[in-house]
Amino acid sequence: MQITATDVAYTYMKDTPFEKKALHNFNIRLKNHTYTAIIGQTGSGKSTFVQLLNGLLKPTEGEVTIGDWKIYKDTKEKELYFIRKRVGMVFQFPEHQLFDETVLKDVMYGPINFGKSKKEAEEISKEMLTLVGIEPDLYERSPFELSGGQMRRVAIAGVLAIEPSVLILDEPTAGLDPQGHEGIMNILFQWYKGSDERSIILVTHQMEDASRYAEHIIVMDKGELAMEGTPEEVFAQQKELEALGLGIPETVKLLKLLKEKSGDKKINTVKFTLGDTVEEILSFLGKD
Amino acid sequence: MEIIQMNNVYFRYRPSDKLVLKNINLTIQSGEWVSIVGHNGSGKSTLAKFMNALFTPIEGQVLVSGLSTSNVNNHTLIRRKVAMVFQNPDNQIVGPTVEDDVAFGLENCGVPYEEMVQRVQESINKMGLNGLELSEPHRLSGGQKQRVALAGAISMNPKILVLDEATSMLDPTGREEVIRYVQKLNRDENMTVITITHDLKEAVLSDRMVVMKDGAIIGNGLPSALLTNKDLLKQARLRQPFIYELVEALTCRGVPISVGQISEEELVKTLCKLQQQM
Repeated sequence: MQITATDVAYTYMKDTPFEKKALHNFNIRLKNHTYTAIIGQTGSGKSTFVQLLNGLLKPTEGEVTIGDWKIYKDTKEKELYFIRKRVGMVFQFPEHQLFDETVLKDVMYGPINFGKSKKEAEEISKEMLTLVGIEPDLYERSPFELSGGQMRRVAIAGVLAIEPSVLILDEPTAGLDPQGHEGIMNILFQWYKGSDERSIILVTHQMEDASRYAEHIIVMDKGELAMEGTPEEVFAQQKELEALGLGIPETVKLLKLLKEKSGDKKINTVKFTLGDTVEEILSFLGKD
Repeated sequence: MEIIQMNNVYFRYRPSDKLVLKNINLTIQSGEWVSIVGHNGSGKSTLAKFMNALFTPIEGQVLVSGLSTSNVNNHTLIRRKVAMVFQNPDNQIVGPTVEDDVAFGLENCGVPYEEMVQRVQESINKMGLNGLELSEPHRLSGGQKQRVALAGAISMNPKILVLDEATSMLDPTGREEVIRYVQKLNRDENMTVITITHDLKEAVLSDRMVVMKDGAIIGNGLPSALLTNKDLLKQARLRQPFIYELVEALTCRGVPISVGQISEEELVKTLCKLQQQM
């Protein structure tokens, strides 16, 4: 589904002494089936923006569209039902949302709530549990007996079971160890590749993830759009990113340093994997 | 001087559970910065909770400044010496405003009003929270909240600061800022710092790294030494920092670099030299 934001503004606690503008004059257009990463400093408005996309917040000005649906100031709760069916959301620490007696029941809660029969819900839930790597012998266990990594996978399966077209991920791997992190990121990427109706919007502080998985990057600063483009375009602008208090992937950082120190203008600094970085260094050394 | 001593520590939550800590022997010197690393579930956070007597061993002994945590009478004294900051700031913020929250511990300890006001302001300044004194903590972003928690911990003038993944929810700038400040506390005020983390980039900065797996210590030494030990890291399910991976990959491809070069600057310098020779 195509996602747009037109002249969107959001103010917390409007018309009170605590009024705080979190987003203003925000315009964005995301094509169907895109993996978008949103980066920006803490407090730049990233989380506010993604909460507008399934109506958890409604814009105080302007409008957001998700496919054919519109969200604006006066959108009724009833209409949001359909949007929430299409837009799934995984927050930081999604395992805090687990509640049911068993793993399977917990995952089935969403689809049943959105009108699926018990049988359908069970089917799709099992499919999603398999996708996230939860074995059948855990289905009847209490979700609270699982390890942190497993709990997170179950919680993510619960969101995927709603069969959303747009998946919003707000730092989905916060607190996981490197292996757990990579596991979850790969699962989510696999889900994205599973159908060309699916889109992902990832809010992240990790530039490596933004460069590795996303096709499109949105950079936010103080509630506004600061930059936008492919990972190659965005991460080529190191100075601008630094001015916004953001880093660049480690690979790019090292190659930039090498380019500066050696004065070799031929070095292409926009490489995002270890392998590509090694090749670039070898070609710099004249060894390729 | 040893400030924390753990001797043959064993622990399980309930008698029927399996052991979560097995034969832990660890000595931390006053003024040291020790990072404890390991994957989720390796026991590193459990271990941290022995340092201020939140948990006590079922076997063995933990001494903090020579005081045994197994003696309940020592707990108040121990907890004044050891400040802890946890991963999720929402679980540790209690005050209605930032300054109230930072003052909470001081107030509990009966610090006189004038001194309290001064110490609160000092801690707030140090954590870069100026201007937010009257904000409601739950309206702040995650990173800001964590700095509030840190300010509260620091206001108590602890001898030991234990950070249990306290930076894992901050953005890169916020993370660097907090680490820089922790570094300063460690260097200038000789505060003993213990950071629990699985970010090895953070562990590189510490004096000593302790690697945990399945409730046991499987590595203990200089970060630069442990980070080149691939087997150990693999066992511990940790990932080498990028710069180590890169040096190794380049060595494999016949680029003559010694493994000792670890900073980006040093690597780039070596590469420039190599290029001129070719």
